[in-house]
Amino acid sequence: MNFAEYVITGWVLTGVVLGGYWLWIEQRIRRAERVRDPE
Amino acid sequence: MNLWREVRLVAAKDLRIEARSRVAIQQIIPFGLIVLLLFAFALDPDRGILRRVAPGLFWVTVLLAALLAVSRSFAIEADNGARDGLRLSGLDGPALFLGKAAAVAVELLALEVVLAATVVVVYGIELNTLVPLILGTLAATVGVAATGTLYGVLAAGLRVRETLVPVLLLPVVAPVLLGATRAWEAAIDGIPSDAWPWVALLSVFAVLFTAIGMLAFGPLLEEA
Amino acid sequence: MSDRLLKPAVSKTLGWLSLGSLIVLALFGLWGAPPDAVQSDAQRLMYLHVPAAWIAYLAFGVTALGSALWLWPRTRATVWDRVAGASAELGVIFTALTLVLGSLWGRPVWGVWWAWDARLVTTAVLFFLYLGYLALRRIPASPDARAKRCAIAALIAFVDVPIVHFSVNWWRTLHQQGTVFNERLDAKIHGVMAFTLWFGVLAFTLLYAFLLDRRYRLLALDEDREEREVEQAIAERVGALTP
Repeated sequence: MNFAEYVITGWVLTGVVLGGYWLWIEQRIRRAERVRDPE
Repeated sequence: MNLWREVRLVAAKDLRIEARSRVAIQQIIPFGLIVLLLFAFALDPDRGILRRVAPGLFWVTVLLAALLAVSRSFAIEADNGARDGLRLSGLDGPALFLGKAAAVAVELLALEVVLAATVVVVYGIELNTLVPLILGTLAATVGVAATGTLYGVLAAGLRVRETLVPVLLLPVVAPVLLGATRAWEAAIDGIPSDAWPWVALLSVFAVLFTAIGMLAFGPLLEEA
Repeated sequence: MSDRLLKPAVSKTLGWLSLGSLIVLALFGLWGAPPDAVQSDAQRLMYLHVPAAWIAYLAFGVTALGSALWLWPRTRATVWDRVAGASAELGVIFTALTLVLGSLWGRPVWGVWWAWDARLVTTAVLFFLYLGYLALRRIPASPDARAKRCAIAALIAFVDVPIVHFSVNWWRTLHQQGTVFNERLDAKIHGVMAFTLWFGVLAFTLLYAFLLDRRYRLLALDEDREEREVEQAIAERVGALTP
């Protein structure tokens, strides 16, 4: 791997991890609010 | 009852249980010896590695055995509502903590004497300059016993106690492993006066976590 | 109300601000800032690695602060326990990112995936301290019992980190290894590079605040639901017993 590949891997990984984490949270929130609100 | 009487009472109770059940003698010390033996299998005694890393191996073994000792310290409180007994005994949190930690420390010291003798004979090291070595060992043992007792009570009522305590305890006592190993290395193979800063670090750790334990034991026992 | 930290409008604004600043960071980090004289483009990972490390420690501090506030009787409130819990999970993620990015940065520049440098080792210990905290948090218990256990564990860990750092630092300087590694990490940077680095810290801080708010919301929803389920189960039990 040359330098650029390490750099791209790092930035993409960071984006995927943080973005994925955020999506996971939002999805779980939506599900929890849906379960709660039909009351 | 004053603090020291209470501490002696609790420590004596734990040590009496050990004297009768002999778990430390028959299970924990052999465990330590087996680990030392396994290290010899893993590290090929013929290449002089064992001798060089003996202090580190010694202290890793002590830490692993400490996990068992701490687990045992709270296992004896698990049956027959013994924990409720502790809570209702009217004994102070700090006294209970110091007593249990002292008992663990005594067991660990006994283990360390046996393991040290073994390491000298089997790994081929010499224990020169005993004073920093012994003081460092005492400080490290107090630190591990205190921190272990603290996490032991934290996890006391939990079903996952035995797998949880190692995960919680080992990262926290990493500085003790570091300091104790460096102190031993300096005392044995290097410049003995180099050991003293590490002994100081170990002492600070021991005092700090004893203090934390005295504060936190009571509240944690309430929830156990 | 302990069921959310920020009002929805504020939270959304924070989210957009984070996203915007991260995009700007990417523009500067990947294009605007020049390649380093020695490290060339590998330097660009520093703009993520260093902010991630800062935020990991910030999250850890917030967990400790929340734990302390919960333990102190006069300030005890559910919100602090939840802040501690939410921040801890963020801390694990940012700590893991710090370690991985550090590896990805170290490999091309110094040829190693890992080095026994004080900062890296302390970060690794931090990771495991947090992981233990999260394991502790997952154990079902009454909210107060769990909060107390977790709060004490978080404070013990917090007190331990400086000791770990100090002892490891001392150990490594005595051995004088990895000095090049240390030198490069401390290298003075100027101009656009310095700006990008600081901007990265800002962007990550905004992101942390936003994620903290969202994670808190999720935590609150989950814990409230658990409590209702327990109350329901108790009510059913009682109903079955009374004639």
